[in-house]
Amino acid sequence: MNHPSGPRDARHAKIALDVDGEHRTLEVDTRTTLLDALREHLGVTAPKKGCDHGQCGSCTVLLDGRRATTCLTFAVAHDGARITTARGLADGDELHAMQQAFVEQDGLQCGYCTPGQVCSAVGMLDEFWAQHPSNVTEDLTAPPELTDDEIRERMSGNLCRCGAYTNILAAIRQAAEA
Amino acid sequence: MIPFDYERATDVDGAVATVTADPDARFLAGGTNLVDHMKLGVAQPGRTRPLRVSDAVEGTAVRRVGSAP
Repeated sequence: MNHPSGPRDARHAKIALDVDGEHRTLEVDTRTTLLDALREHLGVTAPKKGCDHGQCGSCTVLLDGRRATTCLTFAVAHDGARITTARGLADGDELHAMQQAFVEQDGLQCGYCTPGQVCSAVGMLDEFWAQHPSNVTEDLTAPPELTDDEIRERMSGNLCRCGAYTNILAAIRQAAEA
Repeated sequence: MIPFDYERATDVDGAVATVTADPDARFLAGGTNLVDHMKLGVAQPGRTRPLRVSDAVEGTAVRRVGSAP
């Protein structure tokens, strides 16, 4: 028998999440994706639901510092996780360098994919600076170079149906070189 | 998606034991294929166990409600 304060049955779980610096607790059905937990249970609507099948990247957040598509993972599997959404990248009213670069380079049109793009770009640069190779890295023995092709490949999990890719590329380059 | 029980293993042996003991059990791992297939009803596992062997070994399982214990 469960503890009175525990989840009501094995199909539910009580979890705690650190979301953009705030400690949040909630009870979820085990089927609840992390995206639905954020949006529908906690009211954190920065990550967007585009395809809900991991193909568009609009639900991307930084999950314990690494980019992840929140529609393809169960909230129950992330008890205790630290989540940074596009909202949490900013420091109050001061935008993160990547957000500022998207504004300055006009890296969006409708903006629906933008929170995912920005989170993905921040996580992508961390991977790049940690010298992770990508599918287009030719020399796996040398540190990769941040070519346009490298940025495009590393951001290929984030689709923009408006087609703002040219300016997204410019924004990421600006943030990377800042 | 069918309801499932979720179990978190604390080590690799425990994760393997849970999955081998139940033909409906699955390793969840990153989940990016299995979760999508579960949404579509293609996969209907009784259990799903994300078995991540990285810095800390951690695993998880789900079991279909009503399946044999």
